[in-house]
Amino acid sequence: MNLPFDILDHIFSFLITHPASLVACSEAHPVFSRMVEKYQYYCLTIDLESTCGHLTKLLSDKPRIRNYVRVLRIEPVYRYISITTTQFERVAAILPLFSALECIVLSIACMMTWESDLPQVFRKALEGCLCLPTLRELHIDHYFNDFPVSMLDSHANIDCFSLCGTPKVSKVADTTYPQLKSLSITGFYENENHISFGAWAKPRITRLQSLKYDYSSDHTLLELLEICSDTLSTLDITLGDDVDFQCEPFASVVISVL
Amino acid sequence: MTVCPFTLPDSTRTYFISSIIQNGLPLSINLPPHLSNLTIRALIRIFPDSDDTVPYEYCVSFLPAAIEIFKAAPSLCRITLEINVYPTYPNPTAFDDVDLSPLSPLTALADSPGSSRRIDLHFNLGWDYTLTELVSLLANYTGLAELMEQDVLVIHLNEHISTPFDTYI
Repeated sequence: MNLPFDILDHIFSFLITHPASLVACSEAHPVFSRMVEKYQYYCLTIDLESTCGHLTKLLSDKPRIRNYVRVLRIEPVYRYISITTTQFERVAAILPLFSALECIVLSIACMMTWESDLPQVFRKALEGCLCLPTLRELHIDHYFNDFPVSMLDSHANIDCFSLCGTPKVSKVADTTYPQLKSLSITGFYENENHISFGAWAKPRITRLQSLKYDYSSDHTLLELLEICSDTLSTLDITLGDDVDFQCEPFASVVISVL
Repeated sequence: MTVCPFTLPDSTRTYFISSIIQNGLPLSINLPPHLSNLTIRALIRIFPDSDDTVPYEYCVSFLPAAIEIFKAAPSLCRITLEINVYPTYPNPTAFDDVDLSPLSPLTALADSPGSSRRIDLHFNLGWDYTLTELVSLLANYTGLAELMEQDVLVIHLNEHISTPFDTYI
């Protein structure tokens, strides 16, 4: 094996999305084993159903792995189960160990409300991760109601945010706004008690390049498009049940009564 | 704000949703001038008769509204249209009767200046239906067969659209 280290490293970097291949490489040769670790743990999933014991031991035995994790997914492996407070608390204890995160995905797959369904210790731990200077992306999926989007403020490093659910918008004064490049809001129903989402987004999306939005029957999409019209290059919209529409009532006879 | 989802009279027709309205007036969307990549997810819903004696009473299609929005974009490089078809219960025969003619203007979009001549058309159907059947169905509409032959129009069946938003989702 005469290939230089950096060449091999570059080859392994292409396997980030192929964990099985990385495992195979790590088992092929002891030298490979150490080399592939940073790609093997690049994207790590914490299973909310597990006791996290195995992961805690791994991080304790090999502390270097903490710095390899760049994408952290928090989800139940078996979807649509109820998650207990204890399970969230276990994850909360692990979160501060990762110091080089670039992306966090919280994917519970059942409808939850931020404050009432998640223990405070978990919310605080997740908010603590937003302070990491390396963190750029936060994805909250799905359906999370009342996610406090003001949590993104004062974290100028975050430029990609997605939420499936209804955001909770509140007034925040004297803060540093993140300058989002990518924003996705789906499953969103405007709550009259909240400050308009468009008003919240205004100072945060002036450099937006990508927008995904469920086109509901309110002004929000138009507001968002106006704010970022100079920079937006990618748009993804849904025309569904909840838009007002005008139809052509006698356009075509296509289905016959049998 | 008035939301009136599908409060249409009983009929044996397809109701083409031609425009989105706000406060009773058709809404024109001012798309950003530099927009190069536009994805629209549009709904086709097939409604059964309430007494179940008639398999399908009418159909609501958002395809015309989607095409109108595409036309309003000045310089798209990539057009993606996802068509989600929801019958109340699976009936491929009923889908064969759905009028997809609003898709024909895609031929004009493919020819428009600034276009990369690539249009991805995704169909999400909740029942057994083959890509061959779908392509055969679309080929009946003016201009679509030629676009498919030229690989300008690419048909996808029950395939997830990969977007910048869901790299890790």
